[in-house]
Amino acid sequence: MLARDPRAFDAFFSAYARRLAAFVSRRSNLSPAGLEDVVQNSLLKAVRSLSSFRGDAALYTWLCAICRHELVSLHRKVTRQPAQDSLDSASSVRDTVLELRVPAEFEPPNELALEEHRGGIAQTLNGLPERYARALEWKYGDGFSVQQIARMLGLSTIAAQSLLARAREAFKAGWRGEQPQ
Amino acid sequence: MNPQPEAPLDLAERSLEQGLWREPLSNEAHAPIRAVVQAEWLASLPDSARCWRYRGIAIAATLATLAIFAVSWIQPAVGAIVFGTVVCADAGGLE
Repeated sequence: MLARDPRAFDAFFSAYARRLAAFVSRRSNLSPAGLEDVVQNSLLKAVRSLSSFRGDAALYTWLCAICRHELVSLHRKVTRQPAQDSLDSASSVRDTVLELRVPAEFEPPNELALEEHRGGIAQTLNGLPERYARALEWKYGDGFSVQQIARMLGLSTIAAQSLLARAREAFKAGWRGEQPQ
Repeated sequence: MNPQPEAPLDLAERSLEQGLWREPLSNEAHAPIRAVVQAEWLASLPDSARCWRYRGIAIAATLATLAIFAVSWIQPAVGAIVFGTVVCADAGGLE
């Protein structure tokens, strides 16, 4: 990308933009517009400081760190705003409603059930060691292959496979605990 | 005996996929982001033509400096250039 190769930019954008959007979506209840802003700002910061990326971490991990900073600063900005009831405050309610309507193939009750299911998954993952949770998120949330995960974690493919198997086992145990008997 | 040893794992994997996989932005939503990021990417990279121009100037300046040093190093052997002669130094000035 530093050599101004448009194909490199295409590869960069198509590999990471969707994954970053999913990353933000899993960590916030932002409206689609808010989500677009966070993804765009994160990618802008990334391309501006691309020359400073030393390659110590995987590119995706670096992008996620930028994205996380962006989310934290957005959260700070929101919490700093005075709590006032105005017509604008209704926009958050409107965003939630819009969000529920976005996937047209889902009826609202199904969507709510899905949200509940997602909440349960997130809770189970939060109870796992960070390395397990991250590997599972990369595999099932971001669609990275075992080889890619191995590279990102600095492991051999076999070690990554073994880590994923252990993470799945831990998730299964936690998930069983979460499920109503 | 466990009749379905693989079933819980499959269920767990399916649950993980359902819970984690998201496609929050459409292609239409990605398009403007892509345009903005691409423009910023191009603007943030150093212009290669300008870069080569600066590199050329730097090389020329280095060569010129080296040439001056080379001439001043060779010159004493041939004979020093006389800019002037001090005739008398007296009370605060030269004559």
